[in-house]
Amino acid sequence: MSPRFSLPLKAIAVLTLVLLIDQGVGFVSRHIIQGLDDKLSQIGSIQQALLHKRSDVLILGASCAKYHYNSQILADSLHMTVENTGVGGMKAEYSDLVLQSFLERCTPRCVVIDVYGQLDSGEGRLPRVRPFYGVNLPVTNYYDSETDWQQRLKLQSALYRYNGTLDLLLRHALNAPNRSHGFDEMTGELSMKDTAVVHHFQPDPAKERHLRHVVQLCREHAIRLVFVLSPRREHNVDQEAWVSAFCREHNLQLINELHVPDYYTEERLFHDESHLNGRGAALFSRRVAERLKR
Amino acid sequence: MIVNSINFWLFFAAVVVPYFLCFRGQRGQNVWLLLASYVFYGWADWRILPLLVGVTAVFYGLGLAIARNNESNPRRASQLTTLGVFLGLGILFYFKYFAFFVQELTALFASLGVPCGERTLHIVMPIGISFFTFKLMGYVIEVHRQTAAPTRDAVEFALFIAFFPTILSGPIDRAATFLPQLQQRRLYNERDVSEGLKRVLWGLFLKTCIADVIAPWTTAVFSNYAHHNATTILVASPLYLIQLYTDFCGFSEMAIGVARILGLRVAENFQRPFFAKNVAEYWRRWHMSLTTWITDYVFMPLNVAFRDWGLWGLYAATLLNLIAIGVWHGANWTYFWFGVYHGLLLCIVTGLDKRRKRFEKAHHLKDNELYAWSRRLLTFLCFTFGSVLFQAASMGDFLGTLSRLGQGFGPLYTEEFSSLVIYALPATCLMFLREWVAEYRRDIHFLHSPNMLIRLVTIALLISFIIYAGQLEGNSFIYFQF
Amino acid sequence: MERTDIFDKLNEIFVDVLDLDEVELTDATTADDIEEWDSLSHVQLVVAIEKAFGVKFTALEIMKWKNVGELVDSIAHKLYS
Repeated sequence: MSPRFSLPLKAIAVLTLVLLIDQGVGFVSRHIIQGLDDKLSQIGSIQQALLHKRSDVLILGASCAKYHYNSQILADSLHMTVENTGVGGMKAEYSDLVLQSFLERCTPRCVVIDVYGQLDSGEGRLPRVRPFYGVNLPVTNYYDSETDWQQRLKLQSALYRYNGTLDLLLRHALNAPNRSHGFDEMTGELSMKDTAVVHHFQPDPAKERHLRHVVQLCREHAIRLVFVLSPRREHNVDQEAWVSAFCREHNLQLINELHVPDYYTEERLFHDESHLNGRGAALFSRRVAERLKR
Repeated sequence: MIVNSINFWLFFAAVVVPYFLCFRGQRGQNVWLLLASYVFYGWADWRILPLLVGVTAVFYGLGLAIARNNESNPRRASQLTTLGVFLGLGILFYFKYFAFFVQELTALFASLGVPCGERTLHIVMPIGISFFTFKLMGYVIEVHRQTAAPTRDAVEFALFIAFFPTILSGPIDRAATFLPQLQQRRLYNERDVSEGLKRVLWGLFLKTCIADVIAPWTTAVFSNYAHHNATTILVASPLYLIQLYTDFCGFSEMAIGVARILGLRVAENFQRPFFAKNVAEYWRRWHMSLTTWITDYVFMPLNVAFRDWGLWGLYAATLLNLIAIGVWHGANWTYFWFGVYHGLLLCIVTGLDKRRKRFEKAHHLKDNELYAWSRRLLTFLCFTFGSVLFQAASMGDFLGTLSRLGQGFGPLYTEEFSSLVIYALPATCLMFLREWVAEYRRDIHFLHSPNMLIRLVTIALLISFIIYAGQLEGNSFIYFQF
Repeated sequence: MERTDIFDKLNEIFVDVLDLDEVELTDATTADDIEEWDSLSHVQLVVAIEKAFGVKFTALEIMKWKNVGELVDSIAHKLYS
């Protein structure tokens, strides 16, 4: 072996080794993730929403969805199956992907979207769906059509697709509670008598496009689509106006719980400044169920 | 375009291939690298490019003029050197500190009852300015002291200043070691390339698997310190120091590695600072290219000037030296007090030096490992405290963070903490293992093992670990703001 | 004073200031050769040398020496001029 070529040869050897590790880790991770049981953890919720769940009522959104919509209360009240697919830090693309995945399996009768956070810019937790690239068709299409070549190149590596999943898998295995259809009950109490008003709202164009796609899909499949504004401490006036206008434009039902005084009285229904605790969620779910019955 | 992005490596590939293949002599290579460096810098901020070219031309002329006058007219050479230093400081002052001074003066006048118009200055801070002005000033000083030969070749000089791996964030190179390397053609050398790639890999590992994994958590803690208890603050503080080290050392390793691939050796920046046994030693191992620069050009002249005041002169020079290092980071009282804090620590270390040596002799502690490690721990804690001051956005924030310590302990803030334990903890252990081996067992090797199989497997495992556990979104570096 | 005398005196000063057991300085000795000779002790050495030989160096001279030989040249130059 002439020394001139030794470096390229070594580089090839290293790359081959990395490729072997890559494929090995990919094979194992893929099987573990697809075989996750139905427990409430971040990776568990995503896997269930993208690959398995079906229901009459589908709840989309971020942490507000996850903590506010008590699936059991809604199901008992509506006499329908209810799946809460909210995942903290997710935005409109994720709602779009979940709806598309559901439509591959079933046609829900009603889709409820908790709009808070859906239009914020940034990736948020979206990278957590990367393990489903090549497994779930909407996710694969999303990355193939909407990201640049660098991202697509990186996604060819299984190590990259499963980047950061070890942590999620351990959390799923060690301390995830049973799922109760995606609803997570928060504890702790915070009095929320003093609400604040903020302005500034700048919807991200890409997220808006995905939100419109959700609207379009529901229209095509004749699904009832309902937008919800959850109660929270900060009343974003501009956001509220934007959502109202959006709903008027598309002729959608809007359930606006932002100004309902029941949440802000002495009863301490909040866990923190933007999330209801279990009791607050019960009240909220009953009120939403009533509105959905109409 | 930063070194941990795909774009950088495409750029680098486009530079390095013609660099080795197309040029018959060093001049062509230098012109090509200079061109690449200006493209690189212009990519980051094209508005500052004319400034960079302009000051480079001025200092090039100054260097030659000083060299001409060194023997024939020493007074004039001194004056020209002073002019160069003031020019460098002036540029730094204008871009980095002017807005701060105006703001502080306005506040002062306002508090004295003199009304001043509320005006905020918007001066663009040129990226890398603290690094390249220091190179420029160091050059004229060295030429004047005759410790470096001035260069007649303008391209050589401009490349020394603008060399793209180091312009954004150092290491701050010296003319005496860097310029001679530009005077001969660099040939493709497999040893340099493989060594350079190894250093890039290690830097990438430090940055993506440690610094960027810790960063979201420490940021969440320190930017919301008012909501956290003493336990959380006490855990976050040493973690921030580790983050700062791996972030900057990671960048330095990558910069040094990239330069090495090009066949150029730039200054080292870190030498396992966590193994330092006292604060003085820590400073000799931390951001070495800056601390040696300031030692040579600030501390030494001060120390020489104050030499007849005995120990007090030494203390004064030490304090001023560390204040200079602190303020170099930016216009903020936190950096000033950071300098004062470390200056005082150094004075204590110097003052107790003789007593410590006597104590060690009396108790036979020279080879006592337990004693050595307790000194290391103490040094680490001193720097941990300093780093809390360093990261604070203002003195108010710093004092607010400290006040949380008095609010009692409680449960640790665990949001997103698990990724720290699962990825950053093993990575940090690996880093300490490598540094421990370098300090204690120079016979154990992984990346440089004589056995090729061990080398290749280590490299493959590191690459795999980075892709599987690292933060790969190309986050920026802390030291880019300085 | 011969160069050798200067060296003898310097050896004494180095042993004294740097707390060494013994030292054999030559023209080519630099700070890299003696562990205790750092930027801090350099100035202490200068002060001791200035006192012992009764000379005064300029700041530029102090920072220009590259090895002991140049230091000795400086001392010799001051003593004879």
